[in-house]
Amino acid sequence: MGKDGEVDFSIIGLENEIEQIQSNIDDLENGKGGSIAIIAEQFAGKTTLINKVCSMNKNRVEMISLSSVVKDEKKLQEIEEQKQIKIIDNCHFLYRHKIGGFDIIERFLKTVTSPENKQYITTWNIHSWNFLENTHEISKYFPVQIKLQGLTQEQARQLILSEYEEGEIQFIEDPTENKEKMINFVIDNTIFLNKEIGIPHLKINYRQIKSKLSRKKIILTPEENIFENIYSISKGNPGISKAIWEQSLVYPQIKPGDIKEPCQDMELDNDESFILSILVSMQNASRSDIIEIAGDEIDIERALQVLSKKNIISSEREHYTIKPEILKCATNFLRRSRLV
Amino acid sequence: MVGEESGSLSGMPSIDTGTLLSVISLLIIAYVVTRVISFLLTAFSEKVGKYRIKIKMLLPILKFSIYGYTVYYIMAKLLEVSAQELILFGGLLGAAIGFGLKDLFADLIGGIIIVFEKPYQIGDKIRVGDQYGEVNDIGIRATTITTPDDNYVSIPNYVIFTQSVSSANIGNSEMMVVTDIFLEHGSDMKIARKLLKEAVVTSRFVYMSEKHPITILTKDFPFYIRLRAKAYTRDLRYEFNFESDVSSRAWKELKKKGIKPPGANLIDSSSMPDQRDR
Repeated sequence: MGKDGEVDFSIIGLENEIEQIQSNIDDLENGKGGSIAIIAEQFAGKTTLINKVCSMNKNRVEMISLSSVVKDEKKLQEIEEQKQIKIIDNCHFLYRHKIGGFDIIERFLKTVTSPENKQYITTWNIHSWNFLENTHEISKYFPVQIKLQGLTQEQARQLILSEYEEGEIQFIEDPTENKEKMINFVIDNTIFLNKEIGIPHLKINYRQIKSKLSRKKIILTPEENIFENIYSISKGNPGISKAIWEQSLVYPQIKPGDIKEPCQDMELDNDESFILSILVSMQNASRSDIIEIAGDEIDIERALQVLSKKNIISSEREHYTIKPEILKCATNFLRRSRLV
Repeated sequence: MVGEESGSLSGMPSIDTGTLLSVISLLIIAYVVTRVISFLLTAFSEKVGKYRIKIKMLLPILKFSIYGYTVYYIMAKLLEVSAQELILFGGLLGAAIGFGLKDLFADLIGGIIIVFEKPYQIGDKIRVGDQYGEVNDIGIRATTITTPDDNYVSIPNYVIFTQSVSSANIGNSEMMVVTDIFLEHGSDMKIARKLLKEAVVTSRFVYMSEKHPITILTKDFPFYIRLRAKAYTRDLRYEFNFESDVSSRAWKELKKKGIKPPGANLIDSSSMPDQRDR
């Protein structure tokens, strides 16, 4: 609940986690408690959660939010000052996926286990966490691990609509001819011999088939249909849900048919897949960091170009990040290739 | 279908042209169906990443089932072979095996044993005698493998009775790769071990999990120190890429730290210890 008794929709679905962290913070005053790792995929609400915890404990905590790879340890020393509880957001920036890229995180882990009675509340990308679990058994350093679960369909609906007045958005039924088909004729672009060519083929719309099978003749309203479609793509990830909503909304109207299945059948070579796995684990990375990590053997420019052309990643001032709506299918693809 | 012609030898039923054509057609259909299923299943398996080998495991079973059922159908339905005729046929078959088809028969039995006992599967990396490579197909008569030099080698199925067969991955996509690095005595082993471990974990070909850990081993030899990394590659097709990637990136960093290989004359293959020892 907010200050005036209003529901704080920004933290919807995170109430239990906030309570758990708060209880750990309180335990610390009694000489108990241990460092906390909050683990989730990108766009899942780690920063929102940590900001809320910080605002609830202003006098007791100090916070640092990492936004790029930490190359200088002084950045961490900034917070090793007076307060008992340190919050560090985006700890996956404490290492680089390269030889010699683990020195800072190894020193940080030593700090976490130092005998001083300090508590660290940290957030980690789940894929980086899994990687560090295999390389450094990182879970042993954080007795409390909180893995963020996704929102329910109803929570996702509440979160999205909390930004609008009641009745502001018009949910419109699809015209019959615009309804999604179960099999579509699509043309996918790919780069062949430095030229972009379109490959026509038939594509099965699994979501539509699943929806047809599961509906069991229950007629859904356009609003229910829209949020069901959003949920089937985002799997309850709030950032992804919001991104899909914003892309599909033609203010103030939205139709179920506007929620397009963003995933194409991913066809990436080994180099492109590896770069994608780095971006999925780091959440965002500068061109120079990617070059440093990938080394000489990968044609990074070509790989980044392909990923951009296929609408998998976006870039801003030479910083690359995966598009929210693609995250789920990219992760599935990387899991099949065993890169995450 | 089977005519009881009065002039036939030893009272054996003769086969009319129609039956013969049906038998040939059935065999052709069985062959075509097998090829189509093999093609589709292989194409599908290549799309599903880590489950590739699990799907390809079905291929030899399907192949033997299709051919087995075809033979059964021809014998039972088309030729309507009676118990007496079957015994006679068995006798003839026994004689044929004794005279010259025994190897072919051994291959057939070997194929059936490979399918059910699974000493290796399609997609595995196996070593049989001097041959090493990825299994492409387990046929009725022979198993075909592709060697690292891209040679296509056909190994008769009966070989499993006479030689030991080693499979590097037993039906899994991942396989262990051993990478050795030789250093001169006096090298800083703490740094060397750390760098080699980091070269392994940051390789784009590595596969790590609780059941697939990475091990770094050190062993002293009279003229050099061997640093050995044992780790899994996420797909056995990257076996050599993985080894090369780890070795080249590790050496690049080791040299920056002043760690050197032993003198070239000290590592010659004839004096090397067996690489498979621990």
